[in-house]
Amino acid sequence: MHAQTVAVVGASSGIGLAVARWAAARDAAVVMLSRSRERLERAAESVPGSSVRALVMDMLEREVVDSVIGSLGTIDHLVLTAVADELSSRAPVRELTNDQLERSFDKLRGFVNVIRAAVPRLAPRGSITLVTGASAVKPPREGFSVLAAASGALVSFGKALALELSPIRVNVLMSGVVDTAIHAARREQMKEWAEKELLVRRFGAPEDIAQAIGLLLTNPYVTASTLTVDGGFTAL
Amino acid sequence: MQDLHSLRGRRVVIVGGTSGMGRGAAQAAADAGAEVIVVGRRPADQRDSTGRFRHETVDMTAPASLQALFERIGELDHLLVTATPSTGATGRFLEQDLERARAFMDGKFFGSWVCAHEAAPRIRPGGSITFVTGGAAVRPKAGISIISAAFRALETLAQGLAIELGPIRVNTIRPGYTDSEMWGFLDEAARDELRRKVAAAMPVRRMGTVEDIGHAAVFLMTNPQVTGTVLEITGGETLVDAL
Repeated sequence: MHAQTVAVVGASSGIGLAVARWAAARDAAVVMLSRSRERLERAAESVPGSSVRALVMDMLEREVVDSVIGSLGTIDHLVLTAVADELSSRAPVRELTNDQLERSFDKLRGFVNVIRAAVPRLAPRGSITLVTGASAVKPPREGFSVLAAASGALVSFGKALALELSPIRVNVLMSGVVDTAIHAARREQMKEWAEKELLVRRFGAPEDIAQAIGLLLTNPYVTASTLTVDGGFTAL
Repeated sequence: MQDLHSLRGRRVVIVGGTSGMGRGAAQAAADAGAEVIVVGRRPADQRDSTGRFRHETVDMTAPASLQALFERIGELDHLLVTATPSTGATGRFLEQDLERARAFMDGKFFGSWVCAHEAAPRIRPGGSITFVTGGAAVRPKAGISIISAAFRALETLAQGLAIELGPIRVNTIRPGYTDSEMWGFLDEAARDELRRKVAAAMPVRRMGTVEDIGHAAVFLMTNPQVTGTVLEITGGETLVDAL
């Protein structure tokens, strides 16, 4: 990864932060992008490496995205990770408000904004990785229909991009339950469940997903692939 | 490659490791620090890679030969089975006879089955099993239906084993067109033509290498959270019309 630029959207915590650390540890120039300045700056301080930049960007604001991404040089690898507060859009379909419907697709909208701005800067042998959740194929029972549709939309989006942007490689990482801030309130309960029920008998760490994203970044023959790393959750 | 987690102190067994993708996996595992045991049909003194690996010879179609192999090996951490028989693989359905079709299914599917069956009780904590299929699993073509069927059966077996053998992790690599000895039946001009056609057709604009497959294999061995997964590494084959 030496002398390559890795841009990570959603880099202030969880999987995004673990990817930033993974790339920095391999001598990449890392651009960390996130909406909250305070959390982003704190996260960037925790990433060792001489070439780490933190840029505040709300991926839902097209002009902001154009300007921030437009200020970068060549991007070798672009990694887009999930937004943190999607669970507030959770609702049974018959009670779903139009506002919740709109917000459920924020992730797709934001990813489109970033990729649209980044394409002219992406290296021809570069890559894009979209991170989505296992809800795309195995949604929770209650109130997840539109969020599951949005997760699934990212899988189809990735495949079509792999064709349109060829030879840039585009892949999707589908993760299961991972030990991140999203589950902080129920962490012990989730950990216990994972260690008892998941096929691998352990609670996934953000670093596990970062390693898998690392494979998608560095393997030159992987494109249009959906890599599931979920401890066996979708197989249960 | 730098992104690999270490396999230092781990024993890795590659069945079908004397050539092609298997040898790519053996080299990648050795680079990551593993003790690698390479298993194949060919006697050890007829193989070109020597010093880095321990060599074993088996007959994939003889269960007793595989049982004896895993008894000799004892405990292991990771098993990768890529051995594919050369007999019975091709032929249009109405021209193929049952014996030839069975020979392929026996070597590929039941050969992998026996390896997993013998290895699983000897796999140490944190270990894994990886099968290798091919793009034909989801993209059948005229004349190779038995290959597609055996591959898909093996992928489904892997998912069943992931559930039953957990926490041992069980995954499949589904490679696309890969430049390896499996194309050795073509002369050099025809092989160049294949490389050209693959590079022109696939979104990734090149043919796969055995190193690409080795890289993926070590990932599946080292990532503690990946199980029941098919890792598709085809250069985007399923997005374009079959070659």
